[in-house]
Amino acid sequence: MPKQFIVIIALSICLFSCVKETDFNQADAIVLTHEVEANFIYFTLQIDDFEAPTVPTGSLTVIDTTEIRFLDDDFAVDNIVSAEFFFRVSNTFPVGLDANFTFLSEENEPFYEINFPIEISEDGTPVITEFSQLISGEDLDLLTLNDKVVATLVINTTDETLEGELNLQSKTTYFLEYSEL
Amino acid sequence: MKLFSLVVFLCIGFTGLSQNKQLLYGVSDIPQSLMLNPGGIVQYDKHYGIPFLSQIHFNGGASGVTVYDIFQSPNTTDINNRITDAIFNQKNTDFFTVTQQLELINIGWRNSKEYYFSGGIYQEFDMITYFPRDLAILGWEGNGNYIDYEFDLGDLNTSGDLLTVYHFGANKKVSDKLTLGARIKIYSSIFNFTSTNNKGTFVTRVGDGSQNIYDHLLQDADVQLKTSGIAPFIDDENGAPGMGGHIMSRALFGGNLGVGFDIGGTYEVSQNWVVSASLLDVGAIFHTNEVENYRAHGSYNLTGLNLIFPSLEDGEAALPYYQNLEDEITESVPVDTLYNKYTVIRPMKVNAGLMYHFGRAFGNKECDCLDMGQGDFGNQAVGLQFYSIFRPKKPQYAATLFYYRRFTNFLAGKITYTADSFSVDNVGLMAVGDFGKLNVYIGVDNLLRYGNLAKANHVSLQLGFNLKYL
Repeated sequence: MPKQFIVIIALSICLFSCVKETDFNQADAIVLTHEVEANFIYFTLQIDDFEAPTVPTGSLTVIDTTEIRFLDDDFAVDNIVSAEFFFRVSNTFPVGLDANFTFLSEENEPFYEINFPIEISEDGTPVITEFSQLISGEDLDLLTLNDKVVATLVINTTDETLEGELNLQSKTTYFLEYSEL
Repeated sequence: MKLFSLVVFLCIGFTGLSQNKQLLYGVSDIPQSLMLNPGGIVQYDKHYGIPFLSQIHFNGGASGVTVYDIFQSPNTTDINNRITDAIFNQKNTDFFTVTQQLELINIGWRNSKEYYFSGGIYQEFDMITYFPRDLAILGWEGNGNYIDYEFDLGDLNTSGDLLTVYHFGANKKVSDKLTLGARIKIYSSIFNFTSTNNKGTFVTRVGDGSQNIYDHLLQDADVQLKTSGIAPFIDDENGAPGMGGHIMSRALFGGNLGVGFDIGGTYEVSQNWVVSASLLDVGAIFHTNEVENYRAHGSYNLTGLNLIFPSLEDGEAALPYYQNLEDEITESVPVDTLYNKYTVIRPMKVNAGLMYHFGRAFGNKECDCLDMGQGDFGNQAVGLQFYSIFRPKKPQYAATLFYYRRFTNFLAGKITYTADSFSVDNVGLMAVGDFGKLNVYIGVDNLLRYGNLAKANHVSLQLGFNLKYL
């Protein structure tokens, strides 16, 4: 009898303890959805930074390049579902400018670009231009082929004595979905 | 994803206040109760624990969430919303904990001067991880909706030990009413990891316009992970030949050693009233070999890539802005690998009990029954118990009401009702049998949840076999 009592308790623990009203297959539906705000590039330009055009009909231009190594990483390729670039430009030049950001692959092949005009300052006070571009779908596939970006600013003048200053600030909002836990 | 399920299940499915053995405390029928109070009443002259079977203890819990909270079925809501709720409903003082003990040897005997000596070896794994709430929010949702919110790196707080404990204790009834006992312990650590007292914040603020749109500020970060005995596992991911031998060597005084002690006492106020208390694991382990510590510290403001448009000759490479940024971050927040020895204080435990005996006595002159444990006390008892364990952030507490009954001269049981950090309705049940010289006990916690462990914050199981000689 006493041995049976212990055995009954032990068996009861084994038999009546269970995990129910649960469905672990739901784990397949778990998706981490991040929204990451991150600074992108920034710079300030005076007229001295611009270079003379290589053709007589051209305009003053500045170009610079930087790597963005993470953009073509497997993690980014697999998990970024959309990205929004936001640019804010403060301009005191009395002429308009064009901004171009060309994204290049490791082999320096351009797969994606962002262009926008920068407004003129009529009276030398800062004029703010804001521009944003949401990238998703096939465009995003193209964006994530790249690991560097070339920034080109063209000022619509050849006057190398022009007064003024341009300040560009930018950020990217990455929308990520991560389901491979 | 299956791996994620397994991890969640292991963390929160079988995981009370680890190490609280409210069922075992004060049950003098079981030799292992001396491990909870070296000054407990001992009414036998000798005991041998069946090697590897004298105490098997598993205890795990999650104070803030259950498996059911995440994986409930039928699933009327999106699992991602439930995870979000679980993250936001928990505090950074909620914790996951797992404790496992396996007694290898436990023996005891009474000498001619009425001292009861006991000693043995047990292996223990004990881990606690506080819920890193801020980091979980950052990881789950990102920083997009948390501009100006300071994520606290101090939420990262975890520690774990795998060790072997060698112990020897003495117990003596020093007067008619008072029994005292003490136990010396030598700890042989197989491995340890400790990451506590971390500091610093990460915040994304809207910049002041002087640089870029945001300031991503890592402020006064100081995050450390101290390890001992773990480096050999990391260095050889495939498992070095003889790793088993290495573990065995560390278990047998070949690792980092520590010392500690337990003390306790029992005072029989009257025929009915008994009070007891004990202090366990007052000690420390000194980690001096196979130590590898990692420390990241510093402050940094990540403003983005600052282009300066230099004049370049044809074919000249652009400036390495990205590399420079990485170098700047590494320089500002270096991650150092250190080999400094360190000391870890053992998680000290406090037990206390107040017991009122009543009912028909077993083993006294009014009864011819065999004296099986509770001596001249009544066959029933009710009482209160208190338990506390010192953990990295703050002590954890548990309070227990219990009812003990000896049914026959060979069978006794104890039922407990415990309120602790996990729940306020933890009902536990223990049965103890003495079949000849064979002493058997089994106890489980959280019976109200046993029908569905998925809804339990905490599960504890302990069982063991001993030979007892009166």
